[in-house]
Amino acid sequence: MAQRVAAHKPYELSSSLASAALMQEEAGVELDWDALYADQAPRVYNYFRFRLGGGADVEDLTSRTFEKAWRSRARYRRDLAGFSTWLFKIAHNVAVDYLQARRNYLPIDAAADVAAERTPERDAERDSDLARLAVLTAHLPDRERELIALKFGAEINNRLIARLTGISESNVGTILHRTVQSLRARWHAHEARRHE
Amino acid sequence: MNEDFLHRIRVQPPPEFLARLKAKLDRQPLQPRARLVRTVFAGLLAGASALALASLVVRGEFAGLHWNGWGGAHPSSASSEAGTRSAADASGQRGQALPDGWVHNPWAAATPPPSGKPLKKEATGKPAVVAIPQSALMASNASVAVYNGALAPAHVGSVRIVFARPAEPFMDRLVNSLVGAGLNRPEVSVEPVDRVLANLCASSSFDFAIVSRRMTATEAAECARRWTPGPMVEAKLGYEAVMLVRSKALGPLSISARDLYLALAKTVPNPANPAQMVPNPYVTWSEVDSALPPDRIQVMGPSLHSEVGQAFVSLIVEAGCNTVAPLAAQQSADDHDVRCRTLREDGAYVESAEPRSPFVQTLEAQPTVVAVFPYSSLQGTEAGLAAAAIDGVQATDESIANGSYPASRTWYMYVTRGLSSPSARSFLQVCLVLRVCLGRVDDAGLSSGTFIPPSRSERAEVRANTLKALDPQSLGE
Repeated sequence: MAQRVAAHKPYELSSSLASAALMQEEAGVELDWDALYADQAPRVYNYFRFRLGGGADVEDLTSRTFEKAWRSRARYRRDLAGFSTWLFKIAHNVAVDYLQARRNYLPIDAAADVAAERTPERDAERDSDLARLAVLTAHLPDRERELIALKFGAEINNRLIARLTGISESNVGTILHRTVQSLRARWHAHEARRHE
Repeated sequence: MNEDFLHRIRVQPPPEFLARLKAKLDRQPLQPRARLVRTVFAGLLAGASALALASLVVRGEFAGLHWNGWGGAHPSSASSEAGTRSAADASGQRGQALPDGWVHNPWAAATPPPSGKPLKKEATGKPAVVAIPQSALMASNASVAVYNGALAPAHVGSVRIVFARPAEPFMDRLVNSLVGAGLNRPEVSVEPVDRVLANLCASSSFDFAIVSRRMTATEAAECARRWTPGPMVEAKLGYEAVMLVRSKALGPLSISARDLYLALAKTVPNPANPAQMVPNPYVTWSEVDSALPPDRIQVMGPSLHSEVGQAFVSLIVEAGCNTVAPLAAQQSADDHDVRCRTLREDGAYVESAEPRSPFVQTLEAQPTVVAVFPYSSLQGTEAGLAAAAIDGVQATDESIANGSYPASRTWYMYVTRGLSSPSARSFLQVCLVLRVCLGRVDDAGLSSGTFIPPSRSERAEVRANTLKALDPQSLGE
């Protein structure tokens, strides 16, 4: 009977389930869209969390992205290497549309919402950290915010980020390194101010 | 703050959100591919095919074999060597072989060439049989077919498909996935399988037949007698199987289809007078068969109108009914359905619409309850359940594929006159070459319900064998 691709553990930064799926397809194994969904949904969800600084709209935007992708996933029967790229292009466009439509609700506002949410302790701590990060990334250029969301929210590798953004892979690494350093410096400054 | 910190602030999405979204996605129909892209690909492929054909014509290298009635065969198929030999003998084309990667064109006219003439010389005119590269057929947008040397446009008109009963749920999903793949909605009808196969070569009311068993040699011979010689295509679409399970606490049940019929049918032969039908008197399994446990007969399953429910009735209850001698003698009786397909309504069979998880919990809590599950949903997923052996055979991939598991059947598609129309050829390509009919998981969920797609190797075999005529020697009685 048809062999199905087993659900994958979250992949390492250098690997991609979509690539693995392509290899499976080439090997003649059925693709498991359920497994793809299970793998990609948390990435897309966290991409929006990082991109928007959390907030209730994260679920809505994640849904919107998957609905668009799922409707047309037949196109990817034979090109699943592009699935992840394609999915995050949709996610990027969804995020851009959302941000353009709600210019007055930039991440700082979203961060405030998140901080006010009542969540279990651990989530609250993470959301609080995310909210503080959102405050810091609000000062970053849009490109850097996108890279941070793709790298740490979606946890996708630099090669795929390069394909998504049109920036060279080495440049992606460089920009991310500098951005993290910049964020760290701001974070420490922010912490110092809080303790004063 | 560092990169680890940034990774750590990721969270898992709420499970209820993921489940809700997944359910929404599962309900979402597949969008057909963009017409423009399809058209461009079709154009490119048409161009490439035309070039290839032109090249062959110029070089005089048409190398197809003649269609040989029911004995046509792919030269690479060891299993059909006999058919190939007889075909070659019949047409005087002994030893004719195709280049690697080429297959006979099943859509070509079947006019036999004058005997004794070499094929290369025949190919200079309108070719009787054309060889086309298999790679072209396998291309994702192979939307044109070579027919009598002409290029036929795809997606023209709709085709007529007759399904063997009971195939309604399967039929709906298949039709929807074909439409989702860009084909016009086919006209469909449903008839008993025997009638479908009897009319396969006599009726002009359908192009394709999708049936729940393989044609017999007798039916093939009758078909050959009625049908003006033309290619007959047979394709194995997949399997259907249901299982009976219960809690592992009591171990697997070993039971026969006959026992199940006697336990669940509304009326059964009177034990004292088998020719007389009486309301089902059995309360425990051991009353049906002393080898069975003295537990109360309690079977939990889906609605009998559902795909799984219908499969259960057909594959187990009706099959068991057919083994009961007095009833088997009444197979042609009008009340066959009433006698063999009607279940008792006194609580021995309980229709349950519960989702699987509570369903399994119920079985664990009540170990004597037996439940009906589709095989496709149970492969290694329910650790707490034990599957019953039916007539001594456990359901496995192998026993289902070779037909030894009684509660299973194999679905086939037959094509005869359908090959003469462009829309039918397009249908065949989408259905088989693009695997829509072969149960791709991502193609409208054909693997759900009771349908089990063929294995990878079987799919490859189907695609290869679809491109040759049916060999009657491979059929049973």
